[in-house]
Amino acid sequence: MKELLLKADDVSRRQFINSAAQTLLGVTVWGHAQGLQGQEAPASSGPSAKSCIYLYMSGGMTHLDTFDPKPGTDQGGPIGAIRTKADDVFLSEFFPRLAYRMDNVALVRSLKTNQGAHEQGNYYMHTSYAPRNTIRHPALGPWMTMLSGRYNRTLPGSVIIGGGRSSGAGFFPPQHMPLLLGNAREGLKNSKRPGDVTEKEFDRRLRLAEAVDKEFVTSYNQKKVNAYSDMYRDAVKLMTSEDLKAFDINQEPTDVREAYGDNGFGQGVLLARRLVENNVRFVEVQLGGWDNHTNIFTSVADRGATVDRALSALIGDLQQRGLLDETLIVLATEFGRTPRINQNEGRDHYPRAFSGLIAGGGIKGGQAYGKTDESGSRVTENPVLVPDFNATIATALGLPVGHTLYSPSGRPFKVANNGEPVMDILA
Amino acid sequence: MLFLSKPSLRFQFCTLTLFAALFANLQARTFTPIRGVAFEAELLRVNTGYVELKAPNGATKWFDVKILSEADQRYIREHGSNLLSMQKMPMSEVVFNANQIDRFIQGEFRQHRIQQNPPATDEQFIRRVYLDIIGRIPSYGEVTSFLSSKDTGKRRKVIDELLKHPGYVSHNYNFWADILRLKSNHRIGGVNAEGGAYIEWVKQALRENRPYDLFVQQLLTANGYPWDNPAVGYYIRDSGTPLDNMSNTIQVFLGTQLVCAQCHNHPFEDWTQKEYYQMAAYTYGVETRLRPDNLEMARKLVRKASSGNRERERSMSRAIRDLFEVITVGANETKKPLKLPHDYKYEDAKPKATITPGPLFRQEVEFSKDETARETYVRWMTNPENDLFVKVIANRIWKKVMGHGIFEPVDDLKKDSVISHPQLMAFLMKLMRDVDFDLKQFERILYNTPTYHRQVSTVDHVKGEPYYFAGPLLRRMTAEQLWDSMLSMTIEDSDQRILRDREEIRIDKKKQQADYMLALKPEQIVSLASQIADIESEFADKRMDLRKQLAKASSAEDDKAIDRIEKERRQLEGQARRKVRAAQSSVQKGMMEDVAMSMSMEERELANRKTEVELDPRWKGFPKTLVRAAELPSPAPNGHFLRMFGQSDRDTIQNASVQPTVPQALALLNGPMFKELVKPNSVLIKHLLTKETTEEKLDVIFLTLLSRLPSIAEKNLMLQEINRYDNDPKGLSNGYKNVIVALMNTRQYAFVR
Repeated sequence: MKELLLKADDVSRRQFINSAAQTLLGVTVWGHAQGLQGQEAPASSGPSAKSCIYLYMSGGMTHLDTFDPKPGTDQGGPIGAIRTKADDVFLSEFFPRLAYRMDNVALVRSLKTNQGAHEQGNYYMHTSYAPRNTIRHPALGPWMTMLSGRYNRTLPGSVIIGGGRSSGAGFFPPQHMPLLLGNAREGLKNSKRPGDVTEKEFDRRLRLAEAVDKEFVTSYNQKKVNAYSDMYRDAVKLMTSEDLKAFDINQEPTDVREAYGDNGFGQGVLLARRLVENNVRFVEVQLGGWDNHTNIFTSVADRGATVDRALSALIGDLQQRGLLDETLIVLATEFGRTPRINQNEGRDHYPRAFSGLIAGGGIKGGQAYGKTDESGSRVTENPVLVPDFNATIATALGLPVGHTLYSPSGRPFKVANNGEPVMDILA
Repeated sequence: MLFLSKPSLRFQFCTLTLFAALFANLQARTFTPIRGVAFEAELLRVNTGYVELKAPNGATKWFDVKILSEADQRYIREHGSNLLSMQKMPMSEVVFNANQIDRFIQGEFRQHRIQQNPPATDEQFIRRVYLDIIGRIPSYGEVTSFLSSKDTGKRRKVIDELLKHPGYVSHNYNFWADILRLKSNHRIGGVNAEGGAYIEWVKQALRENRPYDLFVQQLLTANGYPWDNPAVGYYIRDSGTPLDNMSNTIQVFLGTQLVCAQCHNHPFEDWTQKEYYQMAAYTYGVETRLRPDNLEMARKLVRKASSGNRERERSMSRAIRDLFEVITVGANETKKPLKLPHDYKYEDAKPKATITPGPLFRQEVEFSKDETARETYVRWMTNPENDLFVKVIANRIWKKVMGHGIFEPVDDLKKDSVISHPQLMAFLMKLMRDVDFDLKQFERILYNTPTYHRQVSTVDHVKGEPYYFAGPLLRRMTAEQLWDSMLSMTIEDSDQRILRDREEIRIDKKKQQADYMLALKPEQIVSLASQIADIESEFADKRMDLRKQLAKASSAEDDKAIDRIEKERRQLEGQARRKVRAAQSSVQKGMMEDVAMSMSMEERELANRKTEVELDPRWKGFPKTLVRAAELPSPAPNGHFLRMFGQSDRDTIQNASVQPTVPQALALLNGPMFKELVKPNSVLIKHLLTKETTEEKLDVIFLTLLSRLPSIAEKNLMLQEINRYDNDPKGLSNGYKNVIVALMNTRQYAFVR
């Protein structure tokens, strides 16, 4: 089939792909996707998580001062390590709460990337592809909704909280674009009709706009014009839906809000939990400030405490609500930081070894997968490349990693760019 | 002049006269710099404060006029005004070149079966040209005066007026801010990198219409502290990643992406890693974390004095860094060697080998004793003979005007890149050289092409395929255009609403501080630093104790205890910080009594003093934040209208977006921005209130928002809406508000045709 596809001339090949894309567009079924050829796409062996909460540490999170401590060494600096619930696994002193929730957590200490710059590293971690200027690749959220649909018709399929970069829907149709929320505490801004506008007035405004636009939309039947119309439709649907409450963290009791930490990230993680409860499939929460070329130890003390608190609260909260088994939690960053402490008491970019974390549904917790040497400079056991990391996540979410989707220009792509899932991490 | 009716002859004559004019002035003369040796040169170009001189061997270089003698400066003043770049290109020549461009475009039509688009209507043209040149929609007055004018040359006139308009600076600043990733609040390692001064420098260059090659030369050869030369912001922007800075330079100015070759031979293009390093070696020596000698000596003394006490040494280093951070950020060209990485794996060199500057884009380079490596590099790059340099800027400006490049992407040229119009490209390159990199002049020609005066294409253009310019491309307004347009309907003379520049005063004080610090002796620095370090050591024991407690609480799985200990820790750090800061300011006070104190006082005064913007009666009642995008911090804060509508985060090159999103729709439907627009003192409402009848009012609304009159059907629809409400004698009834908001939510409003 693939050979036939490649031999077909441009026009018929494009037609085929377009019609296939259209059938996929309509997919809103739960569970697994249909292959292009109509076969069942291969799925993971065990039960898969329904949703993913993806915590992104932007700037290149140091690995030595967080999940792969080397106390007492030159490279380790002044940072100490603490025991955890998992045998022989130590965390840096900044993660006291996470330490006793390690049974649900799999650390990955052997991550490796070939990208040492922020833009490229961030993009590669999110999409499994290196950035090219000829195409935008989709990140995990849009892949999820593209391959196995949305579970909630009115709420967006994926949400990104806290700013930062996003490749949007990549080359997928615009409805897969994640919703970008700057600030968890403000929730979804402008989601209510202004107080001085009645419902009837609101409707009439929309209809007037449509009437004036009729001629324009007919003359300029272009994707970007039509996408604008879709955007309005989705917005209005959202405004009138009950699910809108999901965006309002003020509905949570004070003690819960405090447990996550009174800061943008903590409240963002809390919002993520609410959204996931309302069947939003993919929520990313970004935390910046990890690019510590200077004064790293004070920075990490602060950031580490923020993450420790929010992540532990999340795990505990999901557990309490019985949602931990169906929610995958990921913590990722673009690269690590140099074991050598520079003259400004900081660490610089280091792609050769770094750490990540996967927790929750479908994961074998209580382990630290992969090893680095005594100084944290080289991966000595079980290297995990970025596509492999993403393949592991995708498999835990029940997405078919061997499945190819085509861009509008006919180029083939896979959710983790041929990465191999790490079976030891999956339950 | 009858015999010049043939275009080709006319052109040759023009060229001859221009060359004659050149020749008349191009006489070698001895120039005498205030410091240094006199030299022979010819005067080529002049641009506010800078001159381009040509040495007898043909090499050209720009100089700051101030370094030359009085006699030289007088000569420049007398002869400069006749030179090419100061000459306005006569309209006849502009039109000739514009028509020539169209001939090249038409040349591709038949082969690709393209039909040219019909001419744009006056309504379409006036809206588009305002947005394209000054970044906002035309006002009611501007639209009506254009539409009612019977002057057959009105389109050419409006183009020339707009090119001179202050809005041109604002709009082009946004363009360059995206490319250069300008950031107002850029900090490196916590130290203020004076991004504001750099931004102001770019705006000034735009105001002066500085030639592009000079602009680039100044950016790339900048040296010193930001208060001396704000252009050092270019290197500071990539502080800590000099190889990336080089990749960015090549991408921006030479349209080529080499970054893959930083770590291995490029997988697709045939750049090797070694070639990459050979090019990076030219600018690798430029340091941005400066290490003034007295600080270095102080650090050495500290190391000796601490004799193995790591904590104390760290504490002292920190104190030195914090107290003297002002003098550690700038650009300084050193001879620091560039070495290959330790895991270099190719046969052509050894790992960790020192790499010296080598061929640039495979061209051999002539080094000169009178130039640093960096200067050689920049001279090669900005030379008008450098095809790539010229091609890239010509294509960038072409895309800015027409919506699509002659090759795309504009900064990723490859072996197999498609140049859709090779002859046109060659002609544009020649034009760029002819106008001596005067981008405004170049743009002026493009706006006068018949192509630009046609309607935008109705058919969707497939990304990745060449575009044959049946007309310009339909585009959504950028975030800045949307914001600036809304602003212009709300606030009178919004183009003049520049936030008062406090940069100058602040930057002056910084310079005084820096000068003082640079004059200190190492021993003085060490003694100042130890005052601070002494305070830190008070807290060391308590810190250790808290850490032990935390570890215990963790093994006990005691959430509450952890909360309590972390709170104590935060308080302790807060205490330490406050004490250190108090010590720092008393040290600084001791150092520079007047400067430190008066600086904070002056800053406070400035913060409280009302700015011109707030005092001007035109702008009474409007918040300070309602200014054009170019006056707001770059980028705008997260959550701001501008970011929501896709303004670049200025983190990566040109990453603005015009994709529609649900929050955008929500903002347009329900957002608070219309509050200001429908207030009785907004420009739009004031105009409406001067009209008597409903029909007249509707005309004003349509002309303001859409630059056209409503059709009869539209008028009836709107009248229906308005007649639902009683007339409001004080302002506007809700009916009008509904009409205005409805129109703001049309695609017609947001897209530029």
